[in-house]
Amino acid sequence: MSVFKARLWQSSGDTMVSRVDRPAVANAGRTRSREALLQACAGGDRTALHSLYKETAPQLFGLALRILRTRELAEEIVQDSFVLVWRNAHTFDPSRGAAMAWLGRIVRNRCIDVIRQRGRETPLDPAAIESWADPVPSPADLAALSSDARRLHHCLEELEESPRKVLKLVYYEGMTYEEVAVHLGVPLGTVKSWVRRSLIRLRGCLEQ
Amino acid sequence: MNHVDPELRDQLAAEYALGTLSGSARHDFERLLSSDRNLRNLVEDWERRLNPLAESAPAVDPPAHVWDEIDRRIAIAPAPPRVREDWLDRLWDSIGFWRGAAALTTATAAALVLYVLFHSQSVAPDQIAGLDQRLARIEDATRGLASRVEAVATRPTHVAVLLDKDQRPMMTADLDTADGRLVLRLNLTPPRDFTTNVLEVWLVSPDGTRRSLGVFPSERPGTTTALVLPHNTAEALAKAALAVSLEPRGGSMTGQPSGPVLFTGALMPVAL
Repeated sequence: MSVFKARLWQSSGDTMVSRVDRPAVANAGRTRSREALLQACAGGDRTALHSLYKETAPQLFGLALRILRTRELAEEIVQDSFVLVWRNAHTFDPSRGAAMAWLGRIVRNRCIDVIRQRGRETPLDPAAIESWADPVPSPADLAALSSDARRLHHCLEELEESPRKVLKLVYYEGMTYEEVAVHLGVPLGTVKSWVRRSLIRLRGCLEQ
Repeated sequence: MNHVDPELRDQLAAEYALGTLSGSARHDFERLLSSDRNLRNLVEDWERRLNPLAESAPAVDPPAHVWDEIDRRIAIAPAPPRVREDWLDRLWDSIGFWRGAAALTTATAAALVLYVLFHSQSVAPDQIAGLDQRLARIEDATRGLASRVEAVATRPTHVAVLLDKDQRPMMTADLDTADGRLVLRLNLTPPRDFTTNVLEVWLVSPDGTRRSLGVFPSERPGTTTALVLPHNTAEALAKAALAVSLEPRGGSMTGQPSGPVLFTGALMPVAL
């Protein structure tokens, strides 16, 4: 296992907040876990939704913004997603993963649907991508993650650098293989085989 | 696609979960998903493996109005489900309305009249226009009641009756484009397996694009739910149709109906 690189998130805008600035999000001051908040939402507790929003919306908005690159659209997706969360909280099953993965799935799937159906409203900006393309959580960040997320980062670290970078570009930027190939200047076939082999290795590592 | 190599199935599921399938590949895969439970499970497994990455997304504070809008949209809590075994009982309850017993808006009444007519005479949807006059007479008769009701209920601008393939009125919808409120009422439970499935409501635009409005809270007849739509969505819905599909628990994972569409109905303006 390679050592985690202690590298901070790069900010590309003044509203970008480093995870390191908010360790409290995951540790101190959390009276109820996100999972418990979701379960309270299922019982009709609106303050629970607000608490969950305050804890998770910055990262979900950050994720939507990375993929969509249009503030208005990202705001709309986050709104729709939280209304969906409110109405579907009863279907959340904590035995099948952490709340943040469930929320991330809702937001990201909607973002991917939008860019695959309508195309990108704002073109990819290579400079902005390069500034944070391979974000590695610092040990302090890792401590704040769920055990699922820590394992995933551990398994990602076991991949070679280029395939890992491609996976992160695909996940955090919503890039297609073609976009990755152009961005990195490597053949499309190489990108595809990196992703496919990485996914198999990731699954193997996660199932250990 | 069952005959396809399991490794290839898993690989495609992973790529779909990652979002790298694009264009026709993504569309074709979604078609397969709708009829292949095992494939849906593979996608879900990959989503569960990959989405913990969301925890490491760079945080950006959304502007305050994002929460305000969410709060507005969830502000109207769903009415408690009314459960009756026999839909006819409910119908008689509704008829009690004509004696002023129930607090319903005239538009709900109009939808219920359509409901009765559809059920008793199998009126085809294209005959709806011919019902206008009858509705107008009923509205005249209930005007006094309606004005009393207005204090507690908003006034729908559009209504829809969603019919299944046998032309049964499965659900009614009241839309108020002024405040974006959409009230849905399930009249009958479709004969489907609801231990693993749910009903999901879709806005179907005239150009055929579909957008989820959410999972309906229960399959029990009489369940009524209200949601508040953003202004532009409500305006779009007024010129569109509603469809309800059967989806795995939690709703469609694809952003499009993945299960069978059970009933549909176009919104009609209510000229009150």
